[in-house]
Amino acid sequence: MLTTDILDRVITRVDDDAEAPVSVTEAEALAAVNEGQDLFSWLTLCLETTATLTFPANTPFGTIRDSFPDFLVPLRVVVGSTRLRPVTFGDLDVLDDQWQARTGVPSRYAALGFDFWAVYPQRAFNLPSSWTYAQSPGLLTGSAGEVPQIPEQYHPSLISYGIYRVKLKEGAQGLTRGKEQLNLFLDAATEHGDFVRARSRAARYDTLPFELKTFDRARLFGRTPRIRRGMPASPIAGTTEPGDAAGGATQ
Amino acid sequence: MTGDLDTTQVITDVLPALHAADTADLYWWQLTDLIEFMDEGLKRLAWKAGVFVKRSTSTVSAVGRPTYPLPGDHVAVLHVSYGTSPLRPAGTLELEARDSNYQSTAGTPDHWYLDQIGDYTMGLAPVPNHAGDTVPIIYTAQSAELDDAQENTLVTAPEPLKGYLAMCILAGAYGREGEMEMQDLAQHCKGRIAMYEAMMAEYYGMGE
Repeated sequence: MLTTDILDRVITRVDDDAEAPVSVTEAEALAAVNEGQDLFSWLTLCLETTATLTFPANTPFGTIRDSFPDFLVPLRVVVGSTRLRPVTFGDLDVLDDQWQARTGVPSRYAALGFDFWAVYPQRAFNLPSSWTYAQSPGLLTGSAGEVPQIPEQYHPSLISYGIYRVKLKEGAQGLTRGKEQLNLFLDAATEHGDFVRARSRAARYDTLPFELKTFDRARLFGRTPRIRRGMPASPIAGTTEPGDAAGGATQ
Repeated sequence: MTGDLDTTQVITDVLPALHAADTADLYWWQLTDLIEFMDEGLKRLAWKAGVFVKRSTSTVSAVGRPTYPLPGDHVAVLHVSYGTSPLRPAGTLELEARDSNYQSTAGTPDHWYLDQIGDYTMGLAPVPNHAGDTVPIIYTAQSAELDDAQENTLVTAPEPLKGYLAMCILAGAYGREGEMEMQDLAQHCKGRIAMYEAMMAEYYGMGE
């Protein structure tokens, strides 16, 4: 689905004219769709890439974002043909109390926060390493022929998020209607997150997607939306029944 | 810097949700309000999820000195070394049980502690008997302050954090008492903030 199609549908479904919108601008809808794609990819870790980060000589620590500006979380780190295992500082202290000075063939790494890495042991020369990591999507600009990066079957969920996000500012009834769309979006993210989690386990990746099911949606909707028994989550059909999402705001 | 998030873009994107076409068009809030809502959100995030991790090598041992200031942007200490030797974390109760004069006994430090010596201070035991040794500290930090004058508008964070900052602005703006107060909207945005924070705590770890 093209970004322009998604924007048109967002604008049309908030009861506006896609050719000459009044209540919502195209820039606002585009920002909403970008936010939705960002959130979807962060929740599900569905976009991954592999690139090279060079461990500097005689240095066990460094930063990530200057090499990978789109870095979210590490999935797999390899040096040569050796896979590095994730480790904590506590583990390293137990493993080798001179781990910060030890030289050798790297076997462990740590990635902390948005931007920090450590490696053990370090090399006495610059050493390229191959990082497979979950990446954030590129910014959508709405240009002709542009397609969002998340899987195509979930492009309708970007319409849902776009509607929710532009309705948000209305509060009250508008917000209630928007929440129904957010619920559809979260159903889709949960479904795809489950898929990516299973795939990542099989690949023995170092980070798994966030367990969205463990987050209490009542914090968003006022009460937990009912789930239809036996119905798989669908980005199109959703799993809520009419009025579910509305309940919280009107109670 | 490459990989930094520009918070001016967050403000531009959130303006329509505040019924403004540009920052000069803001009627119920000031631009500084929006910056402050983001700054407070980042400070909360640093505490909740420990996403800003740094390593400081500015602490240097002094003979007979048991305590040292922590970096000014410190939130929580993750790891301390004496030179390249890791130190173990300890409480004063444990140190006292081992040596009632732990605050004066000289030697090569093997433990660090934070309790009963005030905020932003770290103690080493035994007390260093050699000057000029580096004491590297790895810690979770606050992000650089987003100031009202917009001298700093960058955050070292992934682009998707813009959604979190937008929710911080909306929760703050619509939760504030006044003509445009909308508590249902503010509460919903706070729920969204909680979702972002839960996700980041799971991915990046060790907050609170």
